[in-house]
Amino acid sequence: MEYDDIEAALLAFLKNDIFDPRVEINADTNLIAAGLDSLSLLRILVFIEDNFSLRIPEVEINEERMCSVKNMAGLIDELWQNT
Amino acid sequence: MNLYALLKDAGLRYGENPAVIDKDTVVSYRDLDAMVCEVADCLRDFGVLPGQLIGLCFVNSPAYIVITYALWKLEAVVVPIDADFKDAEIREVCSRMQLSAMIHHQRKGEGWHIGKCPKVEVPFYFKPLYPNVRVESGIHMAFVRFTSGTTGARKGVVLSHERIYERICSVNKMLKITAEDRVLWTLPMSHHFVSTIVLYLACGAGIVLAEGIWSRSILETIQRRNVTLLYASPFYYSLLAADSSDMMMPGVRLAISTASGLPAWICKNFYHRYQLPLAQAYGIIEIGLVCINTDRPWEKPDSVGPVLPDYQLGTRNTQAYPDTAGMTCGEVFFRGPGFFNGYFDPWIDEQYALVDGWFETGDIGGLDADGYLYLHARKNHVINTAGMKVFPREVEAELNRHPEVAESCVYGRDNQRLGQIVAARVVLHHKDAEIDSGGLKAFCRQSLATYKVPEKIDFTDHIEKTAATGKIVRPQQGSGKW
Repeated sequence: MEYDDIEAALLAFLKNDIFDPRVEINADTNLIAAGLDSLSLLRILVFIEDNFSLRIPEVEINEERMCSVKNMAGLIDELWQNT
Repeated sequence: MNLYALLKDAGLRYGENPAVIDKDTVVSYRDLDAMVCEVADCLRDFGVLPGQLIGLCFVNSPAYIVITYALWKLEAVVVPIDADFKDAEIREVCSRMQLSAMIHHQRKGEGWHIGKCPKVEVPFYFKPLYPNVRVESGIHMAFVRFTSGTTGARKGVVLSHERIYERICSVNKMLKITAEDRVLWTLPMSHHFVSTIVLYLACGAGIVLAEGIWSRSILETIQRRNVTLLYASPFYYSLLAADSSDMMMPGVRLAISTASGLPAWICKNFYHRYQLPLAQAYGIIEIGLVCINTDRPWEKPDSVGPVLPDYQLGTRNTQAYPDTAGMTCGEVFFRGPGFFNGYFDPWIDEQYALVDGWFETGDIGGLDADGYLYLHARKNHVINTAGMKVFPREVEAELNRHPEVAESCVYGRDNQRLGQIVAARVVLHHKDAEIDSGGLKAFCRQSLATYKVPEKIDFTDHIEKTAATGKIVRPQQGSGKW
């Protein structure tokens, strides 16, 4: 899967499954500022595990790596390259 | 007694001590009591009367606490409603419980009065619903937790002011909360309040609302606000345990994990990172916090601990369950003070809800030689996803409303991160129906809180049922620990 596909899949999941439809988000949106809570973050992690067959290590679950869809997609892409 | 009196007393004793800290806003005990009095006056003007059930749908904030105590000051009964609930879920709570009114954090429009929580300047919205309905149970009710479900499920756990007071007295024999404590708060107040926040405020402790969910911001808050006690779900501890900075928690005397089962690896990693044991606690809304593993969390990380001094613990029907890890296992029962007064709808008095005075938890577990409790499985099918309880029948009812769905079976599937995820097997009327799992999820999201929507939907030809009664046989997956 290409980076763009990862980003598109994540964005679709967040729009459809996580955020209220009234919340506008794009790849650069700061997800915490948009209202992401711990339960939603957990569901994103489960989505990544199921759809990208990748478990995000706890050490990578931080603001720098997961604050936006762009950063998450970059992290997934990087972890894929290294496996 | 009235729980508001505890707060008023704390206001007199601890006046300028911080009661609630939310980012840069510090609300002292004196301020908090003044805010409660002002909001109570406002709610009285809106028509709130003693004995009325008032729904409270609000996000974590100082205002949540203020409104709750204001309702108690007016002798009204608080019915917390999950802030994630969709309109259909809120409507069900309102109509089933015949709520006299509803207070919402953002709903506005026709029929809604606007109030404001002073000092923090947070608006709240109030709407009368069934103002003439009063509960005359003979119980001095403070709180009713509506537990979702469908036909046949018990709805509403009733707690009186006196019972809540009993339970906080019992739990504080172990936690020993004082006015010197600052408690970091991460959990939804709509799910956790009466055994925790009421206790902290009665003791003069400060409640520090967590800023964000990342470990760095949590650690900064812990250090900046001199936090002494952590109260969080396993997920927060997993992130804190993996933090790569050199920040420590020098002032923290106790870290408690609750809401769902704590995996031993988190306990171990957290200890290595901070040299601080992580104590697993076991609580249920009907009975309060009854076990905490404060003494030997490092040695027994899988245990929720021994039973607290005021309670008794027993296992029953042990012949029905295999021994596990060298322990005789059975259905876990508790007896003690501060238990719930009954179920609200249909009304079931405590004497009928308990078995000879014992509460049946629905958990299967065993005790080791030292009296430490280990939970292994659930007897019933309530799904625990990251500490949020989901009733399969409620989700099935929603799935079955879809015109293409013939029947469904919802169950908990084990997941390393969430404990369990909500999963479903669905039979369609027509195999070539134009509906996929994404479409069914979108359908469910219209009416169900997000955490109840199945993460996994598999299509199948039939749903297994028992031969005798035709009840759905739900797949059993591992623990589904409380």
